Amino acid sequence: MTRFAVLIVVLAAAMVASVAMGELNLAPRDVISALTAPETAPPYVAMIVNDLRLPRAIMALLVGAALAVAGTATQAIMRNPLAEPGLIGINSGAALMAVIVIVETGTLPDRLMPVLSFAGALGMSVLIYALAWREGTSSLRIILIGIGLGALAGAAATFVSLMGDVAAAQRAMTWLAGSLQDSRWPKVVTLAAWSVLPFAVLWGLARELDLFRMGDEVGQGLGQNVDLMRGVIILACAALAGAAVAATGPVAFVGLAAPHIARKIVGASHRLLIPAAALTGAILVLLADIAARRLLAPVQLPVGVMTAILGAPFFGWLLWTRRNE
Amino acid sequence: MNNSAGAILTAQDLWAGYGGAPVVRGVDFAVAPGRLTAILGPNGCGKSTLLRTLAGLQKAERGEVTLGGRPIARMGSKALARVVSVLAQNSVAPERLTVGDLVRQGRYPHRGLFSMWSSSDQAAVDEALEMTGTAHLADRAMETLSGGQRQRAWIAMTLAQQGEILLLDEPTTFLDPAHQLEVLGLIRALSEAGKTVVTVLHDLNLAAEFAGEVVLMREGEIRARGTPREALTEATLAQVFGLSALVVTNPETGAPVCLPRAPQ
Repeated sequence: MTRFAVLIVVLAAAMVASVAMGELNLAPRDVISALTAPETAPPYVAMIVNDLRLPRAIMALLVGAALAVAGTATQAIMRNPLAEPGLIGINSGAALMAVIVIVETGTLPDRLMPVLSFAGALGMSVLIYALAWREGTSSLRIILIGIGLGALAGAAATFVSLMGDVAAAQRAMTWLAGSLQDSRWPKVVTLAAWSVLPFAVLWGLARELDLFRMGDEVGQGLGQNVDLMRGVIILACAALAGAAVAATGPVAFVGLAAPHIARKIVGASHRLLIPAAALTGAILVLLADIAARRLLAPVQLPVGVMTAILGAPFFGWLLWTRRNE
Repeated sequence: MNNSAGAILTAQDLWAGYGGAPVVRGVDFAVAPGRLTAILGPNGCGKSTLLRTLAGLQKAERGEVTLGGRPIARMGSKALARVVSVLAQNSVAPERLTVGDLVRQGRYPHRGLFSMWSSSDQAAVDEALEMTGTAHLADRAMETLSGGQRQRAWIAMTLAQQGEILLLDEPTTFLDPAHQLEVLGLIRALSEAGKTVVTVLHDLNLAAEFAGEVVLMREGEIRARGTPREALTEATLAQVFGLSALVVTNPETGAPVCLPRAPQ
C-alpha cells in the first residue's frame, strides 16, 4: 500500500506543479489556498487556478488514467507487451470522424465533435472485432485486422482533409497531435462521466484479465467464456480510450508505457495493476503537459507531441530489453 | 459440492478436426474411471485432437462427448471445468508469474464474478501444491524453474480445480529423461489417489511402464486398446506405427519394453 501512497503523493505534487506553472508562476502555497479556500486567495489567482489551469490539470489526469487503464487491459487480452489502445481501432476511428467534422464545419456543429469521434472509436473497435470473428476470435486476427483497418481509416482521413480548405486541414492537424489546450469544465465533466462505467467494468473484471494473460486455451480449460469476455473488455477499452481521444485527440504512448511502469511498481495482478496504471498514466500526462507548456515557452506544444518525444525512447528501451525473446 | 461423483467421460462416434478433413474419425471411447490411460500414436494421428475434444476445447463436428450421460456441449463451461481439468500442450506462463499465482488461477471455475477468495479456495490451492511437491516453490517465478518443476506447477493448477478427471496433452514433451520420470511419477501418484487421468504420450516405454491402460490411434481411429501388455505387441506396433520392433519384458517391473529395429 505504501506504493500506492507514493503514487498518490507524486500525482498530487504533479497536479500542484501543473496548476502553479504557466506564463504567470504561482507559489504552491497560493495554489493550495486557491483550491481549498478560494475566497481567501487573491481573485486573479482564484480565477487562473479554478477556471483555467485546474480543468486542464484534471483533464490531463483523466486522459492519462483512461488511456493507461485501456492500455493495460489491451495488453492483457492481446497478450502482447507492445499493444496499446490504438490497436483496437480507437485512434483511427476517432480521427476519421473528427477530421470529417472539422472539414465539414459548415454543415456539422462543433459540439458534435466529441460525440462523433467517440462513436468513431467505438464503431471501429466493434468492426474490427466482428471482422476477426471466425467461430470465435483470436488476438492475432484482431491485431492484423486492426492494423489493416487502421491504415485504411488513416488514408480516408487524409483524403477527407485534402478535400477541405487549408484552415480546416490545419485544425485537423492540431487535433490529431493531441492537445489539452481546449480543456474546459464541461469537457472535463463529460470525460469523467464517460469514464466511470468502463473503468469500473475493467477493474471488476481484473480476474478475467489475469486469466487472459495465460492464453485462451488455459482460460477455456478453466471454464472462461473467452469470446464473451474479450468482447466486453474490448468494448470497455474502446469506450474508455475513445472518450479520452474524443476530449483531446490522440495522446501517444501513454497507453503503452503506463502499464509497463505500473507493472514494475505493483506487479502483474490486475486488481492492483489497474488502479496503479491509472495513477501512473495521470502522472505521465500531467508531467508531459508541464514540459510541453514550458519547454519552448511562450510557444505551447501539444501534449501529444511531448508524450511522443518521451515515448519513442521508451519504446526503444522496451524493444531492447526484450531483444532476446 | 464440486464433483459429480463417478461421472464418466465418453465419446460416441466422435468426429473432429480443423475445418478440413476430419482428424478424429468416428471414435467411441469411454475413459476408464480411476485409472491412468495413455493415448499413443504417430504424429498427426489425432490423439491431441481427441483429448482436446474430450476436454471441450474443441467442438465435435459429429457425434458427441458426454459427461455422466450429459452432452458437454450443453454444459456450462465452468460446470465442466469443475469436473474435467485439462492441461494443454506447451502452456507458457506470463513473465514473472509465481507458482502460487498460477495455481490460484485453478480456482476460477469455483468462483463467481465478484466472489472473494475463500478458505476452501485456499485449502484447495495448498493441497494442490502439497500433492505436486511445489509448496516450497510457491513464491518463485515460473521462468526460474526447471522444466519438470514447471510442469508440476501446471499440474498443480489443474489439481486446484478439484475435478476428478485430468486430461494432459503431452505433459513430458521437451523434458529430459529424469524430468519425464518425475512428472510421470506424479501423474501415477495422482491416479493412485483416485483421479481419472488421460494423457497423450510420445514415449512407448514410459507409457508401458506407467499407464494402466493404453490406447493406440492411427489416422483418427482407435486401433488397439487394453493394458500395456495386451495392446503393445509386435503386431500392433507394426500396424499403428509401421514399426518393426522386438517387445520384451522388463525383468524388474514386468512391463513390456519395445525395442524398434532399424529399417534394413
